[in-house]
Amino acid sequence: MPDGAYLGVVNGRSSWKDTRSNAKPVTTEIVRRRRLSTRNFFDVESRYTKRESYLMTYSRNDTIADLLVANIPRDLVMGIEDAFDAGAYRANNATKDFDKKHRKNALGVMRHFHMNELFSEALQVADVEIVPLKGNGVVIGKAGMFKFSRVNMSSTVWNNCKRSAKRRELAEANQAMTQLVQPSLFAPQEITSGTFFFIACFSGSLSVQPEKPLQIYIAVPEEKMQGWLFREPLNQFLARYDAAPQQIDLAKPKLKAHQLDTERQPEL
Amino acid sequence: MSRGISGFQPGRLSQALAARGLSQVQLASMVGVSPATISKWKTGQQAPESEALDSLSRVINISPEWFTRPLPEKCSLPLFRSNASAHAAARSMLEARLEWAQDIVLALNEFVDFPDVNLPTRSFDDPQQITNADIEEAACECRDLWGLGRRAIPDLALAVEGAGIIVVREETGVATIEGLSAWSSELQRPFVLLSSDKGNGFRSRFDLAHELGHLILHKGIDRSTDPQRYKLMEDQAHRFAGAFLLPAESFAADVKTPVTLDSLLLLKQRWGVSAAAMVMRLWALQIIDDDVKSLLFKRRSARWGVKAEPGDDGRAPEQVRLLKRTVELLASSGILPLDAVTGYLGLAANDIEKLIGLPEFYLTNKAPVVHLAKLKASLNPAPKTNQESAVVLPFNKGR
Repeated sequence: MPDGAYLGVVNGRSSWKDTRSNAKPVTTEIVRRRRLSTRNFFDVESRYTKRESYLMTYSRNDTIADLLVANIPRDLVMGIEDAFDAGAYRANNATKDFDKKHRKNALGVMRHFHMNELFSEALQVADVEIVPLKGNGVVIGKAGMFKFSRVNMSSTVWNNCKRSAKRRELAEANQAMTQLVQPSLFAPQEITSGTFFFIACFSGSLSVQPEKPLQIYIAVPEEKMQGWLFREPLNQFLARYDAAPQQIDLAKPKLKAHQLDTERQPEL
Repeated sequence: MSRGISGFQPGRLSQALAARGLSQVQLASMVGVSPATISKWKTGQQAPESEALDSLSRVINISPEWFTRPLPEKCSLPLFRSNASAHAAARSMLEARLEWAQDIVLALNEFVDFPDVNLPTRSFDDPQQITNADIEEAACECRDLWGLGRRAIPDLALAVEGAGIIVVREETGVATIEGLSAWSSELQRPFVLLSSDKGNGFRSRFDLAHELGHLILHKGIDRSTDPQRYKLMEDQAHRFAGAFLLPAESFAADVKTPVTLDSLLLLKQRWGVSAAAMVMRLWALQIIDDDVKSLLFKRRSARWGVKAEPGDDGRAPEQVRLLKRTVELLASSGILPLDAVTGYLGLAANDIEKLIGLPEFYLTNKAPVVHLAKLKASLNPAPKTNQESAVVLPFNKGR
């Protein structure tokens, strides 16, 4: 979204301010509750220390999804999912009285601000925010070895997030991760950093679900943002956290030591 | 004891009467003695003579020697799913069957080590102390201990047996009592007996999880006939079963609101839990309120009745395997051949087969002969071999 467009809509402040003041207490309460319920969980240092050995031993066999699951707390993903829905809802409310002639544009801009704000809150709660909310800028978080940000899309063609210089810069960190998708001829490179985006896809139409993203994705861009190394809807990605390891059969009796008479064992 | 064989254990007679569901009068007429004599045998005032014991063992279908085996220490008093006085005889029968299962495990324990008991430990001494949060926590802890993650459990019976719990699943003829559980003080190991009468895999899983709840939450709590206390303990075991089979974080994410019966039917196959149990779980998690719960149950009754749900045959009842594997292990290692199992355990072969989960006639090898149809010789000529073209390959010992 060009900077000029942001300024244009920010000038129409009255409706934006009203919506914010109505919605703020609810969000604060949500944030306060999340803080209380997840205080221990977000003891980031201790969690990542436990994962350290895993994080240091990536190989080509590790899939990108495994790396993401190992680095991003499940609750953070769910928090961002909620933030996107709430931000989109607020933006829709804030622009519903606009003239049809520019409502679409206003909605896109408001989505950026509202979703950025709630995205920032979710990151603060998880204590993973590294570039905080400021002006039109992109909020950036860090989970394990990954830096991440958010993107909004209003079409089925995923081509517009390349325009952001900051996002292009972030994507460069995925250079080593490319080998997980496209094995290189040379020795495997150690993967120590990466970037992913939470992508909210909207219909692009005011008549089809303008208040909510059609789908939210988690996506890992290629280093030059010419494609995607990994892309999955968030609800599908969340199921990866709950996947039970294959059930182990422990219902086996063992002969007592004094019964182990080798003479009676059948020859192998 | 005034006369008769020495070493007769009156407790064994009481156990056998309960297990067979026979009254003293019925047994007396079958054995050909007076009811008073049976009463004396039962109280230990008198012991049967060898002929009477033979007759008794034939009638009850247990070896005479079994009546002289000392009784092990009794299991803790089980909690039954139905406390109605009408089911008193059925409860005694199931209790006796559970004691027989304990006898079998005690005997097999001479040769094998069963998996270590691996259950969360709780020390409540009154059901009033147990909160909903305690139940949810116990269910999560149990899943963590068993490494089950938070998704649907593929095979609950396997997980339960892997945690050292002895599970018996047999047809009891008492469909109203779905299961019972108790702790064996002699083995320091829990036992669960499940009724297989309904043949419903979804119900059976929930029953097993319910009994697991009793074993964890109510281990140190005295049994009581107080209906309120009894109901509270049953509700707690139900809540545990729901929390264990449908963990809040993953199940809630799967459910779309507003909830419909058809969406629950889809989840039923995924989670292995009936739609009714899912409605109760959603209500316990406060995802639906009282009104929606009532509406869903009303619609459920109107659409499917109260006894069954669509898709009940989508999952076969889970099979128990620990005791079966033990018998197979002992037979294959030559320690206890199959034909010696009955003599060693003292019970009738069909009782052992049922309690252990073995196929019918597995121990006696007296399966009915099945005559397989044969093809006529003309339709199935012997393959012609061309001997001339055969090549003899030398076998070189030296290599």
